[in-house]
Amino acid sequence: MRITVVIAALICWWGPATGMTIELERRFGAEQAIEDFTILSSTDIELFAPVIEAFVAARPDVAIQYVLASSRDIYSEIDSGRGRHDLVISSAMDLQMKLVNDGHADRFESPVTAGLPDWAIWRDQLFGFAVEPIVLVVSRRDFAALPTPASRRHFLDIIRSNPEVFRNRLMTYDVNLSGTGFLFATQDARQSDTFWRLSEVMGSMGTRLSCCSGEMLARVESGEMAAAYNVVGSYAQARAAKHGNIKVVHLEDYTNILLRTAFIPRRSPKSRQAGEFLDFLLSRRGQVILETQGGLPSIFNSSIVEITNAKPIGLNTGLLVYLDRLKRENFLREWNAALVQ
Amino acid sequence: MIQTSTVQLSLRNRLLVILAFLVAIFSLVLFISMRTLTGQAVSAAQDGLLKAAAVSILEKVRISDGALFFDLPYDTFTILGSIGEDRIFYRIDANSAFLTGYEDLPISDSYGDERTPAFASIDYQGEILRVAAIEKPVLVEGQSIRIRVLIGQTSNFQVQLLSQLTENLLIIVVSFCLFAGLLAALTVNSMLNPIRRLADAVGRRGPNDLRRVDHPTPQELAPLMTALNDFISRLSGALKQTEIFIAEAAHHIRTPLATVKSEGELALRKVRKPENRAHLRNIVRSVEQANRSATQLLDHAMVLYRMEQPERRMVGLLQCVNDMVFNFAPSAELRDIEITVDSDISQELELYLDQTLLETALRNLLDNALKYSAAETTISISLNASPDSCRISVRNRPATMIEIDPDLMTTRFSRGANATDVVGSGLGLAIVREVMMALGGALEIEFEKGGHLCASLSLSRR
Repeated sequence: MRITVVIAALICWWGPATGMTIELERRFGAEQAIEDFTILSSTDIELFAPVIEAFVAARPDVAIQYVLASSRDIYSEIDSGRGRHDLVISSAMDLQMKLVNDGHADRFESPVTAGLPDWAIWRDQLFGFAVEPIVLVVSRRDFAALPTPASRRHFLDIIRSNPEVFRNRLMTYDVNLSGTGFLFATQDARQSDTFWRLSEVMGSMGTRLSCCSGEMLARVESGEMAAAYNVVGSYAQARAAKHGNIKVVHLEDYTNILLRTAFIPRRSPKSRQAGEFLDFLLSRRGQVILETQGGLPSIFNSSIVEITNAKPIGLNTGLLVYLDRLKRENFLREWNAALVQ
Repeated sequence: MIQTSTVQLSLRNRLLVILAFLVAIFSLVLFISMRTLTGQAVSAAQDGLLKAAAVSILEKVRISDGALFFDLPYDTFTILGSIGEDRIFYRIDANSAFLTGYEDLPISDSYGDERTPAFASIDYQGEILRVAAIEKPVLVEGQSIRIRVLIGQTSNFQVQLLSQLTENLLIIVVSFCLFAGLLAALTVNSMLNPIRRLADAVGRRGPNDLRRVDHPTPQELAPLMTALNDFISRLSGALKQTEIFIAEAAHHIRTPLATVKSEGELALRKVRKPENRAHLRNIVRSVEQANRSATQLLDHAMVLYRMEQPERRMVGLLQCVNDMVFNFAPSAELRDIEITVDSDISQELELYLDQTLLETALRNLLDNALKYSAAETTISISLNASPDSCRISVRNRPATMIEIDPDLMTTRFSRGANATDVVGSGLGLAIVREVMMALGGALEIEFEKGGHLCASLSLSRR
């Protein structure tokens, strides 16, 4: 008996992991530190450095090795069982959730984690430490003559009526490559049908795909791109503060709120030190440093959740759904059909 | 009153222990059965969730262009993990070919249909997984394929819910236990109350009260009551017979004694020889003593009889005292003793009591006073009254005076050390005391300065 199962044929990187691409690696702490442990993270180092520096300043005996990689690479590194990292930090909530669900995380309990809000903690294993609105970024120069998009439908109308402005000048995450982008797109697909129409219109405009928020922001900033859809809010705010051309737009129909999460892997050789750092990261002091010096909004910052029609992405097992092989293949096929024309 | 030294195990404690034991057993049974029911309900709830999840996965199966499409329901997965933050594992197979999910999750031995899924608990990744298995045939390009859905959840949900429910259950059972224990204690107390009341009622009785016990008692105590009353009536019967016997004996002895005494006195007048006179005087003296004893025994028996059947009426106290003094005047004159009455009370003061008893007391008291007083002295009787009570005091000056315990003086057949040369039985003050008890009064004896002895009767005016 032969069963025909449709397989997404375009890009198939779901198979066996082929090793992690380390984007950057930096050591924090004194040379003579006795103990050291490793953080495997997808968060840009500039945003995360202040809180690590504050920790090693208070604990001169501890050094931290910070390894930056993409959320997908982080997932396969831990899932394959190769990684020997002590703390895993990623913005791809779904991948983090799947790693924890599949038993890759250690349990960690402390007075600090007991004080976390329910939505920021799962099974005493996965901890949210920063919230991020997912935003639209537009170039001020291009939008000088255009209205600011109020909703996705409005944005759609603006693109349709100004093809000369937007042709080949729209950007968004390549969800085939970026775990975070995949999460944003799937949550968009859950929220509304407008997402698919928007995707098709963006596809018809020759939208450029990118691996990361940083690249998208740089292109908009330079004026090369007119708008970037689904950009991590904190990165966008940080750029907008420095550069005049970037404008951050919270679309009113809904704004997905991302939770950056961390967990201690079961295979961690230095779980105690990682726990100490996690405690610091989740403590009020750590959160203040993270927000004021790093620019990552604290989970205790209520202004994020008060954004019009904020839709916080729930830290729950629903996240596993789009990571199902068949569901993921279906989604990517649809998405590629819409955007890559 | 109640002797406890011989009580080995109290009824109360025995009942309490038994009831406490029963309550404990019942609570335990209640707890276990409710815990079991709760456990069943919780696992039924989890099974229901798993079933709903499996069914909703199957419902989303589409066939398009000869290909199978699945759309895992996001919300179902959210709900599955929401209660106990449980881990979720699933696999979907087409016939025996793995399609998606966790390939290392063991296939279920049996698959149910959408209405009755097959449930099982399996060990997976070191945790106990509750799994539901459903299969459904679909037609793909003319071929029938069985879509098999296996979805499992860790038991955190169950554990968490159960521990919460068990905590509440414990609170309920413990409070029930305490409440039932309290009720049991109250019940036992109220059940044993009649016994305590009966004991109190019997304990409150005076030493001479040998009436039937007529206290209301529960049915179960009736045999005890009957036995007690039988015993009392037998005892009082025996006592009565003894009294009657003594009274009869005294009466029978008195008449011949009087004869002997008068004969002796006659003989004394005729006899001239000093040694014979001495013998006769001794005889007369002894007979006199025997006569007195017999009289007092009769008095005593009368007092006991009157105590049970008093004949109360209004008695003028002063009149009664004056009459008694008048009776004693001749004997007092013989010894040059003066009796004075000094009264604070009016002629009209009357008390409701048995006159014969009062007279007996007064007679014995005066008799005693006269007997032991030195010659040519005064016996002064004083009467006082307060709103509550009356007091009759007889004060005399004994010929010889040795202070002894007043309590001992009122004991039957015990006599003061000064009484050896006086005719007497030692019953006089004992009779006075018994009368006073019967009248609800009291006898007090005091040794006063100047060699006086004062005996007071106090009587209640109520």
